[in-house]
Amino acid sequence: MRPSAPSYLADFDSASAMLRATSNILKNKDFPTLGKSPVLKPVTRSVNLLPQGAREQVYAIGGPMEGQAPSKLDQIDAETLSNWAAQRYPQRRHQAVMIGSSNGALVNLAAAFDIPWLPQTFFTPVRHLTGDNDDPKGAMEFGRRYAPLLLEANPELQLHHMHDASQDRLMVKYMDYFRVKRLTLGKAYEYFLQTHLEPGGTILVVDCQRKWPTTRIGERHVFQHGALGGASEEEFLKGGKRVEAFLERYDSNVRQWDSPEPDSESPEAEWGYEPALTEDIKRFAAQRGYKVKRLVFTEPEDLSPLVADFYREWYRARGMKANRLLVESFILLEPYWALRTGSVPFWMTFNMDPSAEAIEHYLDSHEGYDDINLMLFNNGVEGIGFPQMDRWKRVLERARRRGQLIGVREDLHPRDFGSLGRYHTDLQKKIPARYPLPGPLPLQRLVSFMERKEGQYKVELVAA
Amino acid sequence: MGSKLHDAVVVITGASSGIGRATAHAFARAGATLVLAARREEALKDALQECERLGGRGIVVPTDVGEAEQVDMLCDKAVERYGRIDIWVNNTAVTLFGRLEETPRDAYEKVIQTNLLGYVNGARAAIRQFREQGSGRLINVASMVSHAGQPFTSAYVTSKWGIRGLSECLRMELADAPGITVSTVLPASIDTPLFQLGANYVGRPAKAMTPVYPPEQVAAGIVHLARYPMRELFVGNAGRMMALLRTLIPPLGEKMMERKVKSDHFSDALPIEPGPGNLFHSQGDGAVRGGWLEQEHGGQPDSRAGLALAAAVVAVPLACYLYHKRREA
Repeated sequence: MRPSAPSYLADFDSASAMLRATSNILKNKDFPTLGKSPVLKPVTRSVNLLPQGAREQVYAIGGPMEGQAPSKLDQIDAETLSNWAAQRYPQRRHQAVMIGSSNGALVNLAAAFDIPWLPQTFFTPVRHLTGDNDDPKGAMEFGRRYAPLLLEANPELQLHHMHDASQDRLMVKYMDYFRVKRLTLGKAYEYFLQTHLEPGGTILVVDCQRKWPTTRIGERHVFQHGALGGASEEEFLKGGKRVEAFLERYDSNVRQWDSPEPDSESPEAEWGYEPALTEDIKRFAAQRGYKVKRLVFTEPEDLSPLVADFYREWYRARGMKANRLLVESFILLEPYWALRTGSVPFWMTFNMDPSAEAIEHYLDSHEGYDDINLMLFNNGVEGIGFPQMDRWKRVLERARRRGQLIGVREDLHPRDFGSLGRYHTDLQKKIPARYPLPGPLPLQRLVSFMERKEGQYKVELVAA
Repeated sequence: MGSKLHDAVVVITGASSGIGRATAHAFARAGATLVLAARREEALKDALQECERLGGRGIVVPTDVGEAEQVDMLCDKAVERYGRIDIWVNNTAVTLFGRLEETPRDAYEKVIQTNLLGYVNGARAAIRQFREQGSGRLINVASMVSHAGQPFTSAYVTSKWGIRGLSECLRMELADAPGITVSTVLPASIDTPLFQLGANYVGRPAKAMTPVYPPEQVAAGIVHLARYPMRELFVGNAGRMMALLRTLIPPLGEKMMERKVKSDHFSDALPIEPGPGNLFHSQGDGAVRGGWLEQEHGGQPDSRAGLALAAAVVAVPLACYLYHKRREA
């Protein structure tokens, strides 16, 4: 029987949600309520009935409820996490298996090629009820105190303790973000590869090279102040007008964060790939006769135009119009319904300015779409670099026929927590097109596509 | 689309005459928007004028359904003009009378290309559009000979069996799109100009086999399917009974059909020169009816002939069954 998710694993995180989305589509299933229980739908809907302040509190309290008590960090087990991930997939062999960075565009690629993805990074939130979300040094010291429990019990993990008081402001109020990255495959992943990868198949390393300034706490422990989103590394470190305005808006006691001084750069906690794992993958592949390739890119959204263009070309080859765009946001993904509605998927990392720029640039540089359907993740915070709804409306106005929001109430965004349950049904209701689920493609199609389009994308497919 | 047809966008192929033209009239009465297709533009324009007088509106798109590009263009023009297609009626039919070994290959292939591949072309274009819309009704007009063979018309019969098979395959392929339906209409012998216009290599003029049914009855069936989709719909009891007999006692069904065609499908008029009829060049005056009912029964369908055949279909197997049972006893 499939093991249930470990209690110390965050449910509403990129890695766990994208894993659920990928494993669901490999079972020809869709992704309602982010792969969680349908009970979530009425719950999130009812949260929307609360006033804004209460809604934010519910969201903030939801975080630590998922979190592990700091004194119990030694109970976190890397193999249990990996085993849970591996067990989500159906029992059959595949032409390739992806391992590495989380990426929403990749979920759609996995759907096209019927390829499972194993995450390198897991998010294990830690309760920190007495913390101050505007005190990154305090958070760092909290990590310094408790992380050894986790790391001594799990020598195959590296901790990237992340603290982002901008876009994760509500969540970091009562908890700390411990993201752990695997340095070796471990037994569960090795067993998965032996049982799910065709002899001579390909291990595709998903290598997002995005880095972030960090402060080293221990041999396998770094602290990252800030995260990829609307604010820059510089703003987290030195502040600025946007930081001041943001902190004032949220009635903070400070107007600039007292940031720990970074001493190096490390793979970005959430999206970045820790290259130490590649050596272990190569060792294992050499023993078992597998090929190893790396899909290399820097920004998580670098993959999105490639995947969108690949889908468009693929749809057209199947005689479809391919003039409908489905813009996905963070973990609001629907690879199943993208295929069933004949929608070209374009994934945005989050809901902030850089994501708006990514979709705007894509639309600027590509043939237009008749329909643009936009999903927006709701994280409860108007963080630094939060684009107002007007900007998204302008994106929708670029549709030749119809642009519409999917699952989001524009008057409540980014505090429309009902959207977490609504996106799935709204998508089916608002996009009537129905196409069959296609058969999987051979991996060579991707190789040929990338060879043909060499230099057009900031993505490389290289031998390891 | 619900059961209401007002403003529904309906594409009808073979709309210049016969069943297609009668179907256009029927949809026009329901207030539908029509996209009429056939090879002859003038005949289509006349048909559209008739439809407009009956309450419909629409456009004409001259189309040879055997040419996929032209059918794609027909679909594109309908969507360009009206934004969607709710119903697509594949109706075009040509025929050829003659023994297989005595008919020219190009004539035989033209029947298959028009009747069968024409429907494939129409279905492909329609389904692509229906999938975009998430809904739509494809109605393929086949024949009672989709269930029972017939001598001297093997090209026509083969195409009609193929259409029935095509419809069945498409229904299964579209199981993932519940808003899209595929129906097959199975008319019996219908009073249309098909028999006069068909290619003929038999040497004797062809006629509609009795009992003959009016094309308006088929049109009403098609409109009914547009409102209430179902897998297959026979029009004319004679066809239903013949198909039943063919299914229950195939040797008897074949024998009856063979005799019926020989005795009732060709007239005793003077011999005629063999020729391709309207296969390669469209002909005719765009009439709905072929005059067969008029000739036989003064314009009224002969319900007695249908009943007689129905009685025979029921009585003969029953008699056989009782005879065998008695012998066993």
